[in-house]
Amino acid sequence: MAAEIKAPALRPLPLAPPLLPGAMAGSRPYVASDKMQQALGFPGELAPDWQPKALAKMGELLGRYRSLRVFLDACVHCGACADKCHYFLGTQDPLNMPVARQDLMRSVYRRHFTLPGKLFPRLVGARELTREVLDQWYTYYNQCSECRRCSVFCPYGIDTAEVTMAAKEIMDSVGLGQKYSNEIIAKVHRIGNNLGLPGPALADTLQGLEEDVKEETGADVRFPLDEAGPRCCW
Amino acid sequence: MSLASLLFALLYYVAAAVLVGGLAYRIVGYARTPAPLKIPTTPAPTTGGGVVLRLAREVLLFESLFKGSLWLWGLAWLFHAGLALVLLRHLRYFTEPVGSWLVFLSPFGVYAGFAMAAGLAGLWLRRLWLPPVRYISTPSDHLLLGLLLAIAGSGLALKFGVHTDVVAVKSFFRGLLTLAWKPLPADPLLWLHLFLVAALMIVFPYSKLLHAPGVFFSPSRNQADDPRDRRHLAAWAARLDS
Repeated sequence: MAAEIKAPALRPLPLAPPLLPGAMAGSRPYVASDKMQQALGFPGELAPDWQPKALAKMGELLGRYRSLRVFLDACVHCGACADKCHYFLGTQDPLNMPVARQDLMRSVYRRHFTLPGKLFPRLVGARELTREVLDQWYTYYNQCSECRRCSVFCPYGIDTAEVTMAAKEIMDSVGLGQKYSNEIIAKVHRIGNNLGLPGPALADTLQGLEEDVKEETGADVRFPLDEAGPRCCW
Repeated sequence: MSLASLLFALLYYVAAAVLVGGLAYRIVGYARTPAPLKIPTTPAPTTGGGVVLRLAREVLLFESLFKGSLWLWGLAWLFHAGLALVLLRHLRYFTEPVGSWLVFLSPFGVYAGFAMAAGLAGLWLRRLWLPPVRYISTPSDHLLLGLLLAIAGSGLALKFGVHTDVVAVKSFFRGLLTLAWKPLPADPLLWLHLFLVAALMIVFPYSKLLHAPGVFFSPSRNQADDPRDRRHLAAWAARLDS
């Protein structure tokens, strides 16, 4: 007799969740090793001149992506996005509000790329790109899954994913890559698959699968590897 | 011509130049920057006409904000619609003769001044009251709200409290347009109102007020969702392809 399962009552969510500053400050992915970084053509680690390089990269991206340029200029800090991010709702860390996450880069943009930020940094919330700020970038841009839900509700369609992608590109370019993705991409380049399975191991796995299928169904099914022509691929 | 009239004439030439020049610089910058990714937020229109409709709804009705937060939408719309009517009413200081449509609209502009002030006050209270919004507010956010509220307040005071010689004000601004300068009434409240407006014009292209041109250039709002019918390729991305 299975136990009776009762669904818990729905919990009403507060209009504005209470803030827990720093709640997720310690949650960051492993940094990619110098080998993984270099395999992708990035510097292995932060060099002493990382700051001007990061700013140069940011300037380059501002010239390449209209989205980044418009989104960094247009935000009015209205907060319509704040309670739309599930990472903010789930953690209550204010830096997980989409607007605050964008402001990690917007503050640097204002300081280094706009006149008011150069003249009156305190007034417009502009900050130097220091090591502390870069570490905040690494922590909080890696807590964004680029789902774009915030952009649905933004009156200007500001898409945090565009800002997050730019931040990750800048961090990669100065040697602060994220292990999980960079390791996988390096494996795809070097070995040909995301798991890093060498060719012989893959051939052996497929042979084992052929034997299992034969045993289970009695049918002869071939699992081809590196062959031109098969109509199925997995 | 008094010294004050001269200074205000100069101030308004500078403010107009900064506003127009600064906005043109920004807009040309936005237009020249490529948009390599097709990123219209769904549900997105699939045709150019649909994009025009979508942008019209965003600009006139604040559709996305309506979905996001009803309170915020109400206050923001009250302020912006009020501001639009007030600006239209102020056209009568620049046009001669005053068109019949402007004569029709003008009384609405008076009440719109109150709507504008009420919306601004509500937006400011919200910014002070709600912890998440207070957290993300910078001093400039508060200052801009204060500036706009002071402009609305001084304007309403001129209309309902201490009247000024509006005919002379009109001849001053007509004079600026036609380069035949006329004196400005020596009225401190009028000076305050005009000074604040000039300040707003000057900070416009350097502040978050850029959301006004920005919304037209937002790739998540101004793109048609047709990447399967038409390949979307920026020049610099095409070079990576070859």
